[in-house]
Amino acid sequence: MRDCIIEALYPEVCNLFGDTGNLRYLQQCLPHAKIIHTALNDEPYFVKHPVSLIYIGPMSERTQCTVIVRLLPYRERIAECIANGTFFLATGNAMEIFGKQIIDVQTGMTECLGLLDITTTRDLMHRFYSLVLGTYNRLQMVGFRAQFTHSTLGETETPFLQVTKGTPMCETARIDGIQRHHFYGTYLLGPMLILNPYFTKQLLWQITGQEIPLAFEKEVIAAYHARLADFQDKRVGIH
Amino acid sequence: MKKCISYYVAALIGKAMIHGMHLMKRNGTNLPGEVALKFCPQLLSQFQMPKNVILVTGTNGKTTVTNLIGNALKKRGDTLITNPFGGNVDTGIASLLLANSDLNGTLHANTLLLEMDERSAGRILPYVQPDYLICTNLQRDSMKRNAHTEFIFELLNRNIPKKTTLISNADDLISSTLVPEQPHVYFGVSLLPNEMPTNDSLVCDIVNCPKCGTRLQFQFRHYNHIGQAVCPKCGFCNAKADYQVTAVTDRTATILHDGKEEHYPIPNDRITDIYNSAAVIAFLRTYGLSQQETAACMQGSKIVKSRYDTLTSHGKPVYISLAKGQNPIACSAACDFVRKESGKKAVILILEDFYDRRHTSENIAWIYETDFEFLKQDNIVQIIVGGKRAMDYLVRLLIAGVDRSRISCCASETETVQHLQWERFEKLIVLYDLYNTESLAQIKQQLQEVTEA
Repeated sequence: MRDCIIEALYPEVCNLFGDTGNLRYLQQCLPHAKIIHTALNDEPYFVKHPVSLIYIGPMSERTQCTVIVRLLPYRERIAECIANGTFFLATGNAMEIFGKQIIDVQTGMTECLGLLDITTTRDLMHRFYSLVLGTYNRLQMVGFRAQFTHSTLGETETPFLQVTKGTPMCETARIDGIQRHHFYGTYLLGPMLILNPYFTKQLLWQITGQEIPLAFEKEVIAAYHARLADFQDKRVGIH
Repeated sequence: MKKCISYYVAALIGKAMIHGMHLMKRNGTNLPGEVALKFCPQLLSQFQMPKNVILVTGTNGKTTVTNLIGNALKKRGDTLITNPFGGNVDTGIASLLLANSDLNGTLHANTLLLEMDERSAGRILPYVQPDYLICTNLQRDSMKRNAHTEFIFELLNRNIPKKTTLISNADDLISSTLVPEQPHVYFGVSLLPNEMPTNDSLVCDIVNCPKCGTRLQFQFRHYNHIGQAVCPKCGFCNAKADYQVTAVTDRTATILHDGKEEHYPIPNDRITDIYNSAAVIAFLRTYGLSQQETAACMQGSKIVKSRYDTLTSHGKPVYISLAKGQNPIACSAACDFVRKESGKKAVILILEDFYDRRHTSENIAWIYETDFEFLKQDNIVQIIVGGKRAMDYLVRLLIAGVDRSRISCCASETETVQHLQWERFEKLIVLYDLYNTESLAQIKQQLQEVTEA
């Protein structure tokens, strides 16, 4: 198995919706992996070292601005990591900071890292919530979204999910998130790796080069199928 | 005050609805207000407010604090309009005011005491301008409704009227910094003798200094981020409490105020209830009650049964505690309560959201920021989870490190009692969601039947 180093960026502030559950689960699936928790005032590990996976979770709007300022000096290095196939998982509004800009309808525009062709519009007067059922390749993905923003992808970008039930990330296409090389960005919040065990198995296989049994695989898969059946039930509303 | 025509239309319709629902014996907390606000969006500004207006808000504890203050003020003879059973958003408050006013909008009481949902601040505070606002705390809550603490903070900060005095939690570095230019009276709780601080919560809602961004150094945390911290760079720290609980013995709190010790009876010695009591005492003293009057008002005060109850079953104590589903901080505090109880314990978890189950598939992300790790203890011999999402709780408990052999899952909440192995534990603790009351009532009945049998 390849050495596995997972870097969690700013988990002390980028953890609004139970997202650090993903990290705890990864540690239990990969007990020998090195997991680095990089705090907001620290230099990211990936700047000077190769890593297998960079994880960043959702944050407040003010924290988004701080994170953009913190990551801006490493913009070229992040671009290099995306291009060379380093895995990224950005959940919730973390994905937005890698995009072009966030336009807040009340307060104006924030320039982001500009690495991905994503444009976000934010309206703090309108929060929306939805369950999401979607497909990634041939996998059925389940999750939840709760946010103030809508985002659109540029024509050359590939969405992460095709949304089959629930609110998509923009009005013009039934999609969620973005995938470029091994960069996975999604608005699915919280413990999405626990909720989607088949995706997690695939991700771990890609990262480590071998099939990894998931922690509590039987129970996690049973919970996934129960939720999937729920989501597929037409009587179950999206919020 | 001259009133607009739309007010009279709204008031007539709202009052007729309240009367009609009363005749039908229906408990319509929000509906009349909702309809009336459609006719007159400025409805709340049209009432002639009583002499004293007191609002209670915050993420956790506001119902308990409102009830304790209400009981205290009633004891001393105040005439009160209040919402002790909820209805704390603009529509519920509109219903309450319509039900307790004449057609001219005059409220016949000397005091209006309201629990206010913190998200409704923008729709309530500009109209119902309180003399006192008690803010218990600001912590993360339902992701669906509350987004995050910064969002709620800004909502309150923008809307608190200039005339309002705040009764603030000195140990909460978020809510205590609301409207800093306005008068605050602070309450706080020291690290109590024999208290085990909860420094190991998964969630801490403030980690970095709000002034300079440096990582805060916590001396201790009672729970979540509630505790004492200092910024090593700029010196930012907690406000000094005007009413500081320094000890709690046999449900009597010792409070340091103006350099002197004062003693007050309190209803419960759980840390969250000590904070609720401290908020009430700080308010009553600020409101003008003497130490003796305040102590007399607090005497015999109780936490409402919808929050905490006890009974005996099989000759063993059963503690029934609200854990608030989808609220990770309240649920973590309940898990902390479980771990700090001595002896061999069994735990029943019925935490699913009743309304979500009826309309959608519940989002269980919040359980990954709830401290179920606190339930990984040798003396918790059984954990029984009931409900449609029991498999999710099983996974969460396994990830928390709880031994599989100690966990039972049932598809229905009301089946949980059947799984209890009474010979294995000394006490039973039931943690339940606020909206799971029907299942809870059945569970209580089953536990009583066990006793009677």
